[in-house]
Parts: sequence; structure tokens; C-alpha cells
Amino acid sequence: MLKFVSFRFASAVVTLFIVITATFFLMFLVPGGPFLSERVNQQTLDAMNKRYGLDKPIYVQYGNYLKNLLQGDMGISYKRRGYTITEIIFEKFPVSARMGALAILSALIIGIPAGILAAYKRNTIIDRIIMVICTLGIALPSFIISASLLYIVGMHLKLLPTIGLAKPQNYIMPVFALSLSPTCYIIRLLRSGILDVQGQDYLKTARSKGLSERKVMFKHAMKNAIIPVITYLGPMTAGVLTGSFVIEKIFSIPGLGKYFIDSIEGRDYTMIMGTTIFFAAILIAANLIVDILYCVIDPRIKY
Amino acid sequence: MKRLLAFILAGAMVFAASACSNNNAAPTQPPAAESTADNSSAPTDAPATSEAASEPVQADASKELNIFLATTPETIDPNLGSALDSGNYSNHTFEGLMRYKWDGSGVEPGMAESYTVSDDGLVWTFKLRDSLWSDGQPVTADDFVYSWRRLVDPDTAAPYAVDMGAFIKNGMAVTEGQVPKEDLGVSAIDQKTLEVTLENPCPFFEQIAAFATFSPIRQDTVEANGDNWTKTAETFISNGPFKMESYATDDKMVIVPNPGYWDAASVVPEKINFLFLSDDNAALAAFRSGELDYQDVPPEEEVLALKNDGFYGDTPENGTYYISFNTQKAPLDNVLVRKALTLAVDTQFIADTVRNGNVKPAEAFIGDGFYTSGHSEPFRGQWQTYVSPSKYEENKALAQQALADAGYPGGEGFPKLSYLYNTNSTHAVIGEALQDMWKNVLGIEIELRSAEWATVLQDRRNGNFDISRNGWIADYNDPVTMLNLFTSTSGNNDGKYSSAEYDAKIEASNRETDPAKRDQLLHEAEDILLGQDWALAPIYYYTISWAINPALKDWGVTPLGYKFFQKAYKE
Repeated sequence: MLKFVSFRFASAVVTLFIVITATFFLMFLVPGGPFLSERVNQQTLDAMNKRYGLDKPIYVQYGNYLKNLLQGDMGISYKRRGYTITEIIFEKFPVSARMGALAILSALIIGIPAGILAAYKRNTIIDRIIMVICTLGIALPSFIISASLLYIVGMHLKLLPTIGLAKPQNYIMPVFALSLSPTCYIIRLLRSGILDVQGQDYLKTARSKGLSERKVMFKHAMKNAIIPVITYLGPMTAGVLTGSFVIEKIFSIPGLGKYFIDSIEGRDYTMIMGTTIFFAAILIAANLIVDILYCVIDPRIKY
Repeated sequence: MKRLLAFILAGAMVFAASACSNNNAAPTQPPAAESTADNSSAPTDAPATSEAASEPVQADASKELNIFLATTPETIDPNLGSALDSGNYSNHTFEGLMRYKWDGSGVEPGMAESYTVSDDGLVWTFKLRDSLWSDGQPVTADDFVYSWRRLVDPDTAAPYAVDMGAFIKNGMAVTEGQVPKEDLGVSAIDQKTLEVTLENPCPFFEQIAAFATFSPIRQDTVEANGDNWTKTAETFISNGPFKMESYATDDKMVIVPNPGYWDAASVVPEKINFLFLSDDNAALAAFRSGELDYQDVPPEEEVLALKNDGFYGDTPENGTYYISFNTQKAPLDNVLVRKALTLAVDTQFIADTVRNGNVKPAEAFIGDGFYTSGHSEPFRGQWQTYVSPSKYEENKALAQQALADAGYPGGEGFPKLSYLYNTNSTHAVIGEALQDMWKNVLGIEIELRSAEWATVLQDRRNGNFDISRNGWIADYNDPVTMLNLFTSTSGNNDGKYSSAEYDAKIEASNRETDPAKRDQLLHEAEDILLGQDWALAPIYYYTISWAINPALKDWGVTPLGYKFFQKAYKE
């Protein structure tokens, strides 16, 4: 186990290094630059590039960047003057993380009981209703859900505020939009997981020993049925984080997601690197944690 | 889940019902049209509309405004700002020697009480008023000297260092590192007297003195806090009508009146929330739900609905949407080809159909809103225009003739060129319209090429295009802000148009002290640019548009696009 974790950690570092290098050189291949704008004339542009070291050859810039990065310095934003990249990430990510955590939490809290319910009431009207809603929830992209909520609940019914996260009720619409698809996915995975193990021999044995149905369910069936859900947790974390880019934009939430896109549009090189490294690290960590969770839940899985 | 679905369906029905009854809202009144001389008391006896009655208004809510102009600016440091990105915030929190009149009708003395100009037009002496910074200290001439030197200092790397600094003696030389910043033509004679020496006589320097980058800056806070000085209310010391209460990127900037401001008595709002939203449609939802009182530039596709509901307004802006020709590249190096391409465009159609009649088709490069050097009348006036949108049939014939004269009768043998624009639905539709007109009228094929903004900027600047969408909004209300683009040394001369005759006219106008003669030179320059060389194809004059809560009164807008809320209130 320790060997596995240290191996995975080492490969994570290599992955991250490749991500950094590839992103760094790719972003300089794209035309444009952080200070180029309609309003800036050439003398000023040259002066600004020089001041921020962007006039140096790219390999020199790459070397400088790596050197600073190893010291924990991600540099300053070219577009938001006066802000460092770490400052922006530490200010904005908690907002995205809070929303993401709420979405993951509500997906689990709603998804797991609903999945069990659907499996146990299979082919009844309850199961059918849950499944229809799930199909819709997975098929509809989150931006359509968000825009519809914004339009109906925010703009016309005026029931909930549409911008920012100032009050608790601000969270309702974005968290709902963000968690709908993962919730539905969990329901479907759990339902089919339970149905798969239902007919298996070890459950028959458990039942024939006279165990209560509840004990059969939670002690024996769930252990196997939940594994697909756990596998899904990694991509789900990724999905919630990347999905939040759009949702943050629609609900005007001051999170980190918009910087991921805006920095590329604005050629804010240091910000592009900062967000890429940060999100890559989170994804790698999420997948690592999922792999470790396997071992904890199912002792048969060994690395 | 089921209940939620029912709730959403019910919501949809309620919306459908309310949409029908929404159309009878009161029509909006033009802003700034009715300026109340006495603004000390907000009217309280206005008849309550049905909408106001359903939303009880708190006592001070009428003086708290929620304004959306744009997403978080790159900076709110006046020296580092570039025009509209930060100008509106600087104009509310800072004030230069001159200030824009709140109703958009020009400039008037701000921090300066009075000024005198030397006979050669080069030395301007400003007498400062007694006014206080937001921390209670007096505004001095040294604050201006520090700020202006900081603006042109190459270490500051300010985007407008050259554009604005070049007006001041040695400004350009300081930015280029040839002379120290202490040689800049600005000095404090005493605490209340500032002497400014210009590089060239500039009849519109009052306007330049109102430009936000020339605001005074406090040396102590900048030196103590570095770039962080703009981030908190404690360190963001300002001298304008308002001071910062709080600032959060991607969220909002909250400003409250600055009690030490010399004209504090005329400031009406008790609080302004400038919201920083990153999506126009999200902003519109907030406007529709009543969370915003004002939205700048609502989405084009929503304009009609906003108009019907009485929430839309617009006014001409000093700026022109135009097409750049790469004049260094065959066959666009031929003036006849450029003339043909220009005259073949039905600008009336683009204005009426693509832009829904919200813009005015351009007849020249300098729009109707520009002033003469004497400031008193429109520059355009009786002077000739170059393209007449109402005579499109004649223009078509002229275009076909010009193309034939250039050696491509009926478009025969004309190489396939591309039209570059930045990805955006409006630009795309205009591109398609142009493609269609050029094919139908001239018989030539143009390929459309779209790219995202930063790529288009780079390609245009590098001359990596044939024909390209372009546009320019004036920095100040004088034709030279537009005409400067086409001098052969201009960094924004994307088509690399180069004419010694044109450069000479602009250069002469820079040295001319007689307003009438200067206007004449500028007109002659435009005649060369359009009537003679067809260096660009003007399409339409820009419009400033907004969605507004009809209860919002006494706010102002200038033809440069600045918005003013220091006298605004909600009825």
C-alpha cells in the first residue's frame, strides 16, 4: 500500500511536470500577448513586455518560471495588475470549493438513498419516475439547467437572487444546477449495482442464514454495489470543478473557474499556468484518493 | 424531485402569464434631458406606478444605486487605466484639473479653479481649489506632479503613457527612457499652482486635463503599499466625489461620498455599488429581476424586448465601426479597388437590418458627435461626406466602374481575399452581409475568417490579413483622436496606410494655434484619407446603449462613453 502510494505520488509529479511544460510552450504558440490591446501602441507594448520579462527568449522564460515555481512563486497576473497568482487562487478557489463541496454532498445525500429506493422498488411507478428524471438530469447540460433556472426562478418569479453568493439562498440555484447530473448518475450507478448483486450466491447465502433484509442490504450488497459509485467520485470531482466554469459565469459567482477561461482569452500567461497546475493537481489528487478508497472498502483489491 | 418539477412547470406558467402583462410599463425618459437645477431633494411626490407599489422602497434605497458597467477592470489605478475599462470608476473616485460635466456636455474646471494659457498655447497654469483627499489631507500641486511623472515613467509601464504623456513636453522622451522623468513639462509653482508645458499647442487640452490618467495620485500610499494600494478602502485614497468603501474582484466596488470633496454638496447618491459581472446575459437577468438599476450594453438580441418594456436607451458615441484594407498587399494597394469595395457596401442595410436600426450608417470617418477646435459646433457641420448611404444605387455603379478601371471588370481575375473578424455574432453577420454585397455588386469572392480577439489583434497589427473588421472609440472629443490612427507612425494603423501628404496635414494641425485653420487642416486630412485614398471603409457610427430602471433619474453619459451617477437618484 505504501509502495503503491509512493509510486502513484511520483508518477503524479511527473504528470504535473509534463502538464507544466506542454502548457507553457503551447500557450506561447498562440498569437497575441497579455499587453496587446487596441489601445496600446507599439512603444508602450515594448516597454511593458520588457518590464515583465516577456521580451526574453522563451526557454529563458521557461527556466525562470520553473525556478520560481519550485520556490512556490507563481508570479504576478499580467492582466489584473497588482495581484499575484497565488493571491488570486487563494482568494477565489474557496468560493468554487464551497460550491463544489455542497454539490458533491447533496449529490451523495440525495443520490444514494434515491438509488437504493429505485432498486428496491424496481419496476414500480416510483422507480419509473426516478429513472425518467435521472435520464433528463444526465442528458440536459448544466448550462441549460442554469439558464432555465435563472430565467424562470430568478428573472420572472423573482424568488431567488441571480448574482453573487452574498446570502445562503444564493447557493440554491447554482448548487442545484451543479449537482443535478452527478446526483442522477449516482442513482443510476447504485440502482444497477444493487440489481447486479441481487441474484448473486453470497447474498442468497446471507438471506438463507436468516439475516434481516436490512443487514443483507447494507452489510453485504452495498459493499459491492457501491464500488462503481466510488469509481465515479474521481471524475465527478473533476466534472463538478470543470462544470462550475459555466455555472460560475451564469450566476456571476466570484470563483476560480472563470479565470481558467478568461486567462486564456487574455493571454495572462502566469494565470494560465497557475490555474492549469492547480486544477491538474486537484484532479490527480482526487484520482489518487479514489484508488486508496478502493483498498479500504474492498480488501480484495490489492495494488 | 417530482415536486420540484411541478414547481418549475408552475413557474413556467406564471412566467407566461406575466410576460403578457409586462408590456405596458411606462416608457423610459431620455437621460440627462431634464436636468433639475435643484438636486438637493429627491422628489417624493411622484405618483407611484403599479410596479413601485408592489415593491416597498426603503427610505434611503432611492440613494443606493446598483450599476453594472463591465466585468472587473484590469486596474482601478487611474495612471494605469486605459479609457473605458477603468475610466468610469476613476471618474467617480478621482478628479483631475478639469472634470467632465455630469450631463455629458463637455468639461469644466474640476480640481483647478481657474487656468491661464500662454500666447503660444504651450504653457498652461492651473490654480487649484481647496479640496480634500478621502483621508482629509489637502490636494496639492505636488500630487499632480507625482502622478504625471509616474504615468510616463517607463517603470510604471502604463498603457496610456505614450498616448496621453505625449501631450506634455518631454512625455514621449521620458517613456522612451531618453530623459529622466523630472524633465517632464509639469511643475508645482507652489502648493496651489501647477504649471504645465505642452509639447505642441493643443486647443483641446481642457479635455485632456479631464482624462482619468491625469488624476492626482498620493505618493505616500503608492510608495507604502506598492501595487496593493488600490485593493482596500484604507489605502485607496482618492480626491473625487466618492471614496471606496469596499472592493472585491469579480464581485463589486462600493463607493460612498467623499466628505472633503470641494463639490460634496452636489453629490446625491449615498452609495453606489458597481457590480463586476462577467456575462451580459447574467447581468440582464439581474436587471430583469430588479437587482440592477442600470446595465451597460445589454445583449443585442434583447434590445427589442427591452425597448418594448421601456427599459432601453441609447445615444450616439464618438466612434466608428470600419473596415481596414491591407494597403501594402495587392490588389488592395490599388486605390480603385479600395474605392470599389467601400462603395459596394450598403451601410444603410447593415445599420437597419443587422443592427436593428440602433446605429447610424457612417458617411465619413469622423462622426457627427465631434466638436470643432473652438468646441462650439459640430466638426462635421457642412463639410462634405464621402459615402452617401441614401444613394446606394449610384454608389454601386461607381463601385463597379472603379473595379473595372482597376482592371477587374465584373470581378474578373480578382484574387480571392479574406475578411478577418473577431468571433462574435454581430461581427459574423456583418461579415456575411459584406461577403454577399461584394459578390453581388462586384462579382468577387471573399472568404470569411474569424478568430478570437487576441489573435485578431495580433494578426491585424502584424499585417497578417487582407480586409479586416476594425473600430475605434474616441479618447477625447477632437477629430485628431481618430485621424491619428492613420499616420504612418501610428501603431494602430493596421492597414499600414502611408501618405506623406496626410502625415503633413496632421503634423501641421498639431502646430496650428488658430482654431479655424486647424479645423481646415483636419478636414483636408480626412479628404485625403477617404475621398482620395479610400484607406478604409466606414460602416457605422457607434452607439452607447443601456438598459435602465425608469425610476433612475439625473444620470449622465458623454459621447466618449463615460457614465456619471454623482447626481443620480431613484424616484
